[in-house]
Amino acid sequence: MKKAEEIGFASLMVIVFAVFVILGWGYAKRPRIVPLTLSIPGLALSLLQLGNLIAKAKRPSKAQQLDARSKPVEKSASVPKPPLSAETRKILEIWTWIVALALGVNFFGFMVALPIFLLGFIKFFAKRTWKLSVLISASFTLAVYLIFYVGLKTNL
Amino acid sequence: MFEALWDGLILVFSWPAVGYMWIGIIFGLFMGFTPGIGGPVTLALILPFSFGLDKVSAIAFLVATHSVVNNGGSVTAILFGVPGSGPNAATLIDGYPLAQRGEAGRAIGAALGASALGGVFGTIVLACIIPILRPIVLVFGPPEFFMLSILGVLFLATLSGDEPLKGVIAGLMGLMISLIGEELIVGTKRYTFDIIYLWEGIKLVPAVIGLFAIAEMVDLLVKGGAIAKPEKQVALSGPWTGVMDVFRHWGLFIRSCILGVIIGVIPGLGGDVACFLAYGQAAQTARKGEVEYGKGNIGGVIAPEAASNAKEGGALVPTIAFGIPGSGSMAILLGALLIVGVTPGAALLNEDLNLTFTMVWTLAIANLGGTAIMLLLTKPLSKLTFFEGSLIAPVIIAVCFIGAFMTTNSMGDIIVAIVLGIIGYEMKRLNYSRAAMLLGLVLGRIVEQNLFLSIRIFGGDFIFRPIAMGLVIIAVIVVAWSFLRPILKGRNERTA
Repeated sequence: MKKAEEIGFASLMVIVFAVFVILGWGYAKRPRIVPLTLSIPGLALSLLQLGNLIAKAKRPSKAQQLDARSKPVEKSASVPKPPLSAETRKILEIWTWIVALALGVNFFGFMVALPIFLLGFIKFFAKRTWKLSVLISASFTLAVYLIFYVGLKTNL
Repeated sequence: MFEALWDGLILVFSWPAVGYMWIGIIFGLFMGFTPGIGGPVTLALILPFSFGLDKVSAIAFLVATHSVVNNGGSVTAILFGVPGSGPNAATLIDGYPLAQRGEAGRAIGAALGASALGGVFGTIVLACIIPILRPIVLVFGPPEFFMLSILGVLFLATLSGDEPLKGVIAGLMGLMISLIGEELIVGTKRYTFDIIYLWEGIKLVPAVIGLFAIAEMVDLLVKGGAIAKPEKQVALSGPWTGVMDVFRHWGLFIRSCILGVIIGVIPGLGGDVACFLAYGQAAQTARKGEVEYGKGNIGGVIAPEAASNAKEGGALVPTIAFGIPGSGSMAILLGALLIVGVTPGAALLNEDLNLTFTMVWTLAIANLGGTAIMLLLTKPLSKLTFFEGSLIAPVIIAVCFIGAFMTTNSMGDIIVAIVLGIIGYEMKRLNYSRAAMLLGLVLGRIVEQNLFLSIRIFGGDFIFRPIAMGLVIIAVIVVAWSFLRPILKGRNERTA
């Protein structure tokens, strides 16, 4: 999993640097000097990193080599794909909450989105009591109102 | 000179200036404690409140607020892994692991002690340097600034432990991200994809919030439990142990302060560079047998904090002498001073020298006062690390959203914070240096601007100027050492 994640991230770096290089070529002479000076080495280094990771992934580890010597390799024609691990599910769930807060802020503003986010997150993600969830979200919203709206007179 | 020094002290303690100074200290600490707000945003927020004040009160209010912001930010960096501002990101690297080991109190004590003493150090240097200002600043031109910026990023790449390649990639990515937006000289819009928000580039505050604050909070939620592991709760040590650590590491402290002052004096480099360079030299000079840097070495807290506050004294030098702000915060401070009728330059160093020393005294007193307040609050604040992450994290994420949004009151800032949060979280998981990326982001524009100026003024030979050449040699040594170190380490381990 970690290896796949490493390769995935290194590939992303390669793609991003490649985009920087390709778009950089299109600019006039002066504005492209620094982008190309930085993005070409960036692309080369991230390709090197990706190559290293792929080579490492193909090379069996010492433990696997020892294991292969002691046991015959069993070929399984249809290995079922593992379901999403609990950790991955948790990560996706957290980012969903964060994106939902951003959407809430965009459509309804901070004073509506913040209490709903806190209430929902503490009740359903942290699995706490309604009493505690309401207490935290209400007191935080009140603090935000007093500090930013009343005190600093900012327009959130 | 001495008369002006004494007059400055009397002015600081005159009413209502002294009251405004304490309001500034408390407000600065509070804003510093709020993740992502940091120095420039805090100064921008108090700017409207200083308009109606007399010169002395305005100076006391503005300088006091600015000088303590990082103290509050270092506490959140240590307790939650959430830097209050950019400069606190360096404190996080070792401060947060110390908190996880149950030594939050010690780390905060060390951070505050180093900040206060570093601030006093910077102030003393400022007071001494005032008579000999001009030649020092004029030695550095665009080629030297360019090379110093490059050196800053390379230093950070070496901090990525045994994987310098990842550090360099992260640094280059940060530099590239900083180039997004309108190019400064010709005005070409680069990598903006016709999105108006991107015309002004990626702002530092949402980027810092995303890379560090949001990424750390997601990590905390994924791992579950509290920031400090429950079995370590009994090991919570007092803040005074941390303060004493500053004296035990006096060599590191002095080196970091000197570095901070030098970086502060050089316009344009700012606090982030000072902190990360100080951290870099601390890691480079680590003795055998010490706790590894990045895994909870107290030196990793002392060095950036000392440099961060020592830098403020240095940063005031070009601001008050030439009207050249040393950092973003100083640029805002400069604007505020002009608004209240204080004009930097020769007059401030001759006729209004007492006002200059008012700044010097305010800087020193605010540093000590802010530290005293924070030390009193350290123990209760340290206990926050034992709260359940699932209760603290959503509240901090909400504060992060507010901090990001307040940068330009745009949804774009929140989107940037989320995108960089996702990238920052993956970088943390895969051991890429987020600090190198952040520094690249901070320095990118400075690199480009100084490169163009260097070529225009000196042509392609700019690199052969003596100081620039010296910096090139240091850069080559740093890169060679960072790639050779893991190889030599592996060879030593095999022979042992």
